Amino acid sequence: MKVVLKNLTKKFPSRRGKRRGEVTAVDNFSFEIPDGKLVGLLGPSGCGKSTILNLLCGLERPTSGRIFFGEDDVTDLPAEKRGVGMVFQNYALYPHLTVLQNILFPLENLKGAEKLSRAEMRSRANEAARLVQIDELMDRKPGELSGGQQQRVAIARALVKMPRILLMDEPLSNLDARLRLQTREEIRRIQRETKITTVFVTHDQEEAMSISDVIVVMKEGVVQQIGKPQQIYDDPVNLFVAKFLGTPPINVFRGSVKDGRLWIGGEDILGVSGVSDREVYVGIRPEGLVPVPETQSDKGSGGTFPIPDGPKRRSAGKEEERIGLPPRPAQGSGTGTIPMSGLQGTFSCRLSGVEVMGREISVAAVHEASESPMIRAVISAEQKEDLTSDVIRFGVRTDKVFLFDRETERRITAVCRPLGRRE
Amino acid sequence: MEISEEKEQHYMEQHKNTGDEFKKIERSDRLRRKVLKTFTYAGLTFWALVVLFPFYWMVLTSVKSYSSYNSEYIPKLFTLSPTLQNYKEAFTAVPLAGYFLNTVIFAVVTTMLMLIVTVLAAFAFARLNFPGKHLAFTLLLSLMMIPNELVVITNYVTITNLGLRSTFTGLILPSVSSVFYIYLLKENFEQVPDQLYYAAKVDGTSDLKYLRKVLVPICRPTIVTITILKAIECWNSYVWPRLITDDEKYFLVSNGIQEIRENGFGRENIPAMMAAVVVISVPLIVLFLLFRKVIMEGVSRGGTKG
Repeated sequence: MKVVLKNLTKKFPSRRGKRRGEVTAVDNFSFEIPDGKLVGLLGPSGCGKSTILNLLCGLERPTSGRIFFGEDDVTDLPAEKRGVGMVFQNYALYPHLTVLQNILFPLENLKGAEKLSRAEMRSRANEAARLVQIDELMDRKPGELSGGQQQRVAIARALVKMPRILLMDEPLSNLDARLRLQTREEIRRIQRETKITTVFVTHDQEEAMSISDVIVVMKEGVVQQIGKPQQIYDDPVNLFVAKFLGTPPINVFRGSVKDGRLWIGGEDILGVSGVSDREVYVGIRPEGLVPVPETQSDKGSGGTFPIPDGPKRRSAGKEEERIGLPPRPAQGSGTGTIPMSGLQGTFSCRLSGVEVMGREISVAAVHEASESPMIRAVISAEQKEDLTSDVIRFGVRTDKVFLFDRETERRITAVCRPLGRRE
Repeated sequence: MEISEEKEQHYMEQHKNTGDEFKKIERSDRLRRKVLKTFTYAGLTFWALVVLFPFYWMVLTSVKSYSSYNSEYIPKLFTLSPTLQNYKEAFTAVPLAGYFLNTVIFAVVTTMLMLIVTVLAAFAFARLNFPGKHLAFTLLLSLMMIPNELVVITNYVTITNLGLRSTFTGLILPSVSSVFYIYLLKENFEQVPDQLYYAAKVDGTSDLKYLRKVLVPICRPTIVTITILKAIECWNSYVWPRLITDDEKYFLVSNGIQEIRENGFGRENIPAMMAAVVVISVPLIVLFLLFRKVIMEGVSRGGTKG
C-alpha cells in the first residue's frame, strides 16, 4: 500500500510553566512512501521521527496536513481503526499473556466483516509465528523470552492482522550488537517476503543504511534529504546530513576557496573549479584521507601508493600508474568514478594515535582547522604503513570531499581535482 | 630423589593441616548455625503463641458451659467438659443465620460495587485526560485526612434525609467508594507502561477493552488484595450498621454478637458470644487461607510491579 503524507505538521502546545511557546515536532512534512518498500526515518533523538510514526498509526493527530493510505484519507481515523501494525521500541508485549495469546490479541479485536473464527485465528497466528521462527515458544510468557525472541513476538503480533503498513520504532535498540545485526537481516527478509510497506525509525545511521530502500534524514522536524542510502552518503545536501551518515563521522574543517584552490590551514590541498572565492566548510570522509609515505610525497608524484580498497582495485591503480594514464578527475557530485591514481600528500596533520580494528586501521590525528578535536582516517589493515612519525601527510580522494557554505551549511557544487596536474 | 620426597612429605603434612583446619572451621560454623536456628525458632514459637492465644481463648470459652464459665473465678486454660450448647444458643437466642445471610449480601454487594467504582475511577485518574483531573484527585486524596468518625455523622444525616435508614441501600451506599483503594489502584495502573496502552490501541482495542483485557489482568494481585481487604472490612463493620439499622431484619453479625452478649441471665453471656464469634470468624479464615498467596503477593509488591 502506498502511503502519502501531505504537508504534515505537528505542534505540541506549550505547557504552562515548563516551556514557552509551542514545540513544532514535525514541520510541513511531505513524502510518498512507495508500495512495498522499506523506508528508514533517520535522525538524532528529538527530530520528530517517532512523532511521524505516531501520526501514521493514529496515536497523535496532526495539527495540519493529511495522511493517505492508498486512496483513503485516514487523517481523522483513530488508531484502533487504521489497521496498522506497530513494533514498539520496548516491544510492549502483554506480560500476562502467552506468546500465542499475544499474537492472537489483534485478531480478537477484529470486528464486523473482518471477524475470524477461532480456527482461522489460530492458523493465522501460527503462520505469523513461523515467519519469525518462534513457533516453538508459543506457550511461554514474554518474561521467559530473550530480548531477540521478544522482538520477534512483537513483529509477529504486528504482522498477524496483515496490516496495511508496518511501523517499527527503533526495534533494535534493546538488542546486543551481534543480535542486532542478525535481527536486522531478519527484518529485511520478512519485509521482502510479506511485501508490506514498512516504515522503520532509527537514530542509528548504519542500521538505516543497511536495511532501507529509501532513507529520510530529518532534523528538528524538517526533512533534510530523501534518497537511496548510498546516494545520500555519496551526495549529502548539507553539512548536517554529511555529518550524520557514516562511521567514523566525516571530518569537517574550516577552509576557504582562493584562486581555484582549496585551502585548509596554511595548505592548499586540492584544486577546485566551479566555485567563487569564499569561506567554506570542507568535509572529508575518513576513507578519503589516505596516509602518504613521507618519501613519496616529497617526490611529488603519486608513486605506487595503494588505495585501500582491496587487492583488485589496488592492482588496477597500479596498472593505471604503470601505463601513465592521468588521473580521472572526480566529479564533485559523487557519482563519478573513484580515482585510481596515487595521491599526493598535500594535507598534513599531527598524528595522535592509531587504533587497530582488525579489518581496518583507524588513524587519529589533530589539525587546528578541524571542527572536532580529532580527525579520523580509515585505511585497510593490509596496508603496512609506517605510522610512527609525528606529522602525517594525507592524500585526499577528491570524490570524498564535500564543500559546504559557511553560513547556510548547504552543499556547494564544485569539482575538485588533485593539485599539480592542472598545468 | 630424597629431597623431593621430603618435600612431598612436607607438602602432604601441610595439606593435612589445612584439611584439619578446614574441618574445624566447618564444624564451628555448623554449630553456630544450629544455635542461631534454635534461637530463631524459639523466638518464632513464642511469638506464634502470643498471636494464637486469643484465638485459643475464643474457642476454649465457646465450648465451656455458661455455668462453668461463671463459676471459674480465675479462668482455666482448659476445660474437661466441652459442650456445644453455646453454639446452639447462639443460633437460637437470636436469628444468627439471618444476620449471617445479611452480612454475606452486604459484603458481596458492597465489594462488587466498590470494585467497579474503584477500577473505573482509578483508570480515569491514571489514563484519561479531562479538565480538572488533578484538582479532583487532590480533593479525593484530601478526604483521607478526615477521620472516619466525622464522615459517619454526615453520612448518617444524608442517609436519614434520603429516607434510607434500615435498608440495604442505606447500609451499602456509603461503603461503595474507597479513596485509599482508588489511590492504590491508580498508582498500580500508572506503573503499567504507556507503550502497552499504545500497543493495545494499535491492536484495535477501545479504552474499556484495554482496561478489561490488559490493565485489570496485569494488576490482578492488587485487585484481589483490595477485594479481600474490602470484604474483611465489610464483614467486620460495626459502627455504621449499628447506626443505620433499627430493624432486626437488616442486622449484621456484628449487631448479632452484641445482642447475644446482652442475652445472658442478668450477666453477659460470654460463652455464647464467643461461639457466635467463632462461627463468624470461620468464613474469613477460610477466605484468607484460600487466597493467602495472592494477598501476600499483592501486599509485598503493592505497586512496584509494572
